[in-house]
Amino acid sequence: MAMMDFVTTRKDELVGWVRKFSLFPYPFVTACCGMEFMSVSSTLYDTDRFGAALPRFTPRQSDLLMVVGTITHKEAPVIKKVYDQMCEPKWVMAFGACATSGGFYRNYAVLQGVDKIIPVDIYVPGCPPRPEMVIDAIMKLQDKIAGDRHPIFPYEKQVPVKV
Amino acid sequence: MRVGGVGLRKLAPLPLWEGLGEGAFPIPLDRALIENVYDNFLIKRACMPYSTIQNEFNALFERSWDSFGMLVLELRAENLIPLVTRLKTELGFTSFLDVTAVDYPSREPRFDVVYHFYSVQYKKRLRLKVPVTETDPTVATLTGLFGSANFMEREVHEMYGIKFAGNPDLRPILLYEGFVGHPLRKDYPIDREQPLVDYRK
Repeated sequence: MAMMDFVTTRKDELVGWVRKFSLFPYPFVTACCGMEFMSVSSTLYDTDRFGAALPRFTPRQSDLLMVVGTITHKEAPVIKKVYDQMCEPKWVMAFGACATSGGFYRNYAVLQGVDKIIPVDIYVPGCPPRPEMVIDAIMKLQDKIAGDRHPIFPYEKQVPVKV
Repeated sequence: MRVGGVGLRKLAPLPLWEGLGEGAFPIPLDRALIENVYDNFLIKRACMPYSTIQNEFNALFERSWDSFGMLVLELRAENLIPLVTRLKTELGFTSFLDVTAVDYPSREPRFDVVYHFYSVQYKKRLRLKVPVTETDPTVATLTGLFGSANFMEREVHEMYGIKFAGNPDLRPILLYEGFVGHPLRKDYPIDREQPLVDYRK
């Protein structure tokens, strides 16, 4: 008979540990940052090491919305609908200067940051950001997920992810 | 005489009539005729100077000048269709490159509608400028002459508010439905936003 057949932990830590290594990103790629997204998700930088390698091209199966590139006012209803179609729990990463704040586009056409319409969990600055910064952002998001509350039982108060 | 395989084999470098007797061709091929054709149709017409346009079409434009080697004509709006028709049919300006507009807020008339053409036959470019006023920014459409004018005029219409009389479809292309104003005019505020989705609180 083995000496240790069980471990003890907190429920939120367990669920957070499970969730932070199974991020399924939905790449909402609209602009030149998409080149950097290809770089960071392929062999050399390889987000698979963080469990965030498998892009799901449907919002219903994904839980990390990566807004990669400039969002215009004409495109805002689309990304709002994509965000609403994602199931809880869900997180949003603003990838690059344009998704973060509008970047250098200050005109009639460009939304000044995607956080005007949807809540954003982590911002990655840069035009475009280096792949190391994206990996750093994924790791920070994993820390945030691991330290967050995860109400999964019916008796728990179901609160949305705090921003 | 058969000349087979023109598309596959190279033709003989020498004239094909070599070795044939007199009367092998219906027209006499003498050197003067060949030089005449060469000079008049291949060299001289290919080097049509801009002064040809300035001399022959001077009734249809107001003034003209040179802009970095390209001829610019300024004309009134009612002369646009006759001038472009003659340019297309007589001088081979069959390629319609662009139409756009320029806003001079303190000038009267306020807008310039700018057209660019390219003559494939003569390898020359040409720019037309049509000044229009703010109260009546109307020019005739070129969709009857160039089909590609349709979308470009739609874009100028949404960005500058220029009306193209006769264009069949002036809905916006790049802007969305419900957008108020013309964003490339100088008096459109640079930070005015017209969002489609309500902002978060």
